[in-house]
Amino acid sequence: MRKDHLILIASITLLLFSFFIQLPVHASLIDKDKLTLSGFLKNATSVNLDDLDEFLKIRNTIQLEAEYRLTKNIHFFTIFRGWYDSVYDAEATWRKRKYNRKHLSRTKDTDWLRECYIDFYSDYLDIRIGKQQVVWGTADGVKILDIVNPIDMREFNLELTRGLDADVRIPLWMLKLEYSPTVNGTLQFLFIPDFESNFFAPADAPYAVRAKNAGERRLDVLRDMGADVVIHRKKPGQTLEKARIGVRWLDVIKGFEYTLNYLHGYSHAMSRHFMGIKPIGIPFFPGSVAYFEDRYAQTETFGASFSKAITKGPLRGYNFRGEFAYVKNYDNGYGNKDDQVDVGEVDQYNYVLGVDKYFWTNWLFSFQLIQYWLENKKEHSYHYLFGPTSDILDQCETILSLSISTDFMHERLKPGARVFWGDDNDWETNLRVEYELRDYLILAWGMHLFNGHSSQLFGEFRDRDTMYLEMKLGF
Amino acid sequence: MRRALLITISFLTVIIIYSSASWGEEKKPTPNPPTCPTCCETMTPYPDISADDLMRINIYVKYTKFAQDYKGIGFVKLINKKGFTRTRDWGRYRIILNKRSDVMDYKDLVVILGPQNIKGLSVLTWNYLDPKKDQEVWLWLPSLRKVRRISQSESDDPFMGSEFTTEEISTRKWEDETYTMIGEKKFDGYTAEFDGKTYYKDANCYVLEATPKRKEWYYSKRVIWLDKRFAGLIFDEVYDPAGRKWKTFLKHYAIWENGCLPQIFLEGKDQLASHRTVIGFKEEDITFNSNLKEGFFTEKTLMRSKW
Repeated sequence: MRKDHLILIASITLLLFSFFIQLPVHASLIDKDKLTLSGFLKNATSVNLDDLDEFLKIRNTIQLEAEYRLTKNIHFFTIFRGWYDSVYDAEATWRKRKYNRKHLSRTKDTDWLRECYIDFYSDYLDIRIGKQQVVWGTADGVKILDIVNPIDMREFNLELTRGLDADVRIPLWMLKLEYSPTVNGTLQFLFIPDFESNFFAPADAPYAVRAKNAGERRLDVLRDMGADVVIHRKKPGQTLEKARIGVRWLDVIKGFEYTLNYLHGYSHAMSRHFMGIKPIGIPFFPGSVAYFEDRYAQTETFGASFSKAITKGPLRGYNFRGEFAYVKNYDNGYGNKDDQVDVGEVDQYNYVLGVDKYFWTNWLFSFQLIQYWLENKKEHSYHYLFGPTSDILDQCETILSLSISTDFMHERLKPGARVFWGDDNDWETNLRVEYELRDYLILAWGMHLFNGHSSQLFGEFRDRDTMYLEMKLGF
Repeated sequence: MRRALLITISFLTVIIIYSSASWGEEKKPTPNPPTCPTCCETMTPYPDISADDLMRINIYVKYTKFAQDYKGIGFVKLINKKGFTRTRDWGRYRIILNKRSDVMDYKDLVVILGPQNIKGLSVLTWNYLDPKKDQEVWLWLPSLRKVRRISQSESDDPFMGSEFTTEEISTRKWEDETYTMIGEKKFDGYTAEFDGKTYYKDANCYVLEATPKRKEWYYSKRVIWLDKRFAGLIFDEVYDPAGRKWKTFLKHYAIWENGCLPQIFLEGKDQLASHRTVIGFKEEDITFNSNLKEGFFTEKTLMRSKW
């Protein structure tokens, strides 16, 4: 955070504090104790089902949560989280790789401060200032409109499919205002001076996407030819002009809920640009250096979402939902398969339509149709490439998902399954069973199974089928 | 003679008008106006009250429609036959809207306060006056940090894994059953397994039988004991489709001077599986008529959740 941002946020905080401290308002969900502390210890261990001797994760996490109510309508909240993944020490396969193990095996930099904010409540205006998550959209397991915070994909989408979205979002410092001019209508305004990019596992890590591995192999070719490789990360400056701005209108009219969304600012997705080889353009020359630049495109996103539960008539019990995002000026690589030539600007149209219904009392079925459309299929006669796989991207990519969940033993045993199918006939199947051993002790067992060609989104992990065991002790 | 005839006709006319006027004054359960700003609008049984009207009052008491709003903090204990207990702490808010809205009956917000793995889970429901219309339901899911719209749970789904079904806690409406009066009896008393106390010994009760209108429903009938003082359900015996006594429920109310009738202790027992559920509230944690706003019962409030 830059100094001027801190001063600005501190000034606004003091101003609002002096205003809100006067207001009589029914603010929080439960206003019983002044200080609330909680947290958990968690172990998550997973093995590769295709090679049971190979551990993919042995992660221990500690999280502490604290809420302090300064007044009835001013609250402070923070989460501290630290974790260590000892698979990078214990498992020779992962210990010997050349990536920066520190980034993969432990909490890095200031990430231990997971969330930290102050809330101000009133009947018409809520304000949250600090490091936080903001969620848009209604989709499960995929990100279409949930774009305010970047995501941590070190384990590909595995945590998303387990419903741990809050753990994979990377919180940002921001200001959030929620103004309610009507009973159900709310206008949300976001001012986000902070910037973080999406985090993908580096090449050769357990869940490195294919494009990362392929990119690293190409850099290795340059290195083998005698050139040094320098990658300059051109992160957007943290100035007021470069801050991201978001607006959302939410309303419920006769049971129909809708939102209209707009987000302006730098994309969290990075694109790598080749800047040339110096001094004479070829790698064989002594002292030659190949330069690359990682950039983040300035994009505009216009979105909308809806949900409608049918409460009467023949479709009673069905819940329909959807979300749509038009992303203008998205930076997308183009070229041949596994060979990116350059990066072009292309507009994207992405949407999800979903339907949920309970059957047999407590079996919840959720189905989703997900489509990603590109404005153009080609750029300079080359095809656009799919970011995670570096494979040729169709103008329309379709994914279907179905999830089923239920519970037994008075909600003590909770099994669930979620299946994704990609239109290139690749699959991801996720199974999970949760068991409440004690009030504060939860055990979970599950599997992630992948199928398909190695150049496809789910198929790229076909030799990374996973079985995991989690134990979480809350306090 | 003519004069006598006129007097007779006038007399008969007056009698007829008077009689018809008293026919129009058929007794109905109507709320008594509150006597102070924080008082509740009580509705009490009248002599020779019908089973239907008794159940109307019972629904009125069950959903705290005597108040403008309600909030309370309590716990739910799920106890298996070996005594192993799981506990959920929760808070509940409700606003009654039927006096100011033609569409909405009331809105409800339930917040889970513990244990840690489900802390923050919140359920917002909007209940319509139209008895044929389901609830609107929104969930705040802490693990997703997001509001999720869902359809109303199936009415026979256990509420939070308890003996109480969703219908028994929040969706059963007066129109869902037919009612027959069994008679007026003294209740033998119920000794709760949770605290060993005997509740409502020798209480004067109306005893009714309720039969679900839905065919092939999860119960065949209920025998309901209503306290004669306020027609609130104090004991409920539920029979399974085979006609066996399946579950019993005790509800204990506090009777406040201002007319409010909070439920403070509930014990449900599955007689066949020997599983029990206890729901409790401390009286000091219950408030009525605290001027909650309708705007509090929206997604914005769910999004205030930090967990």
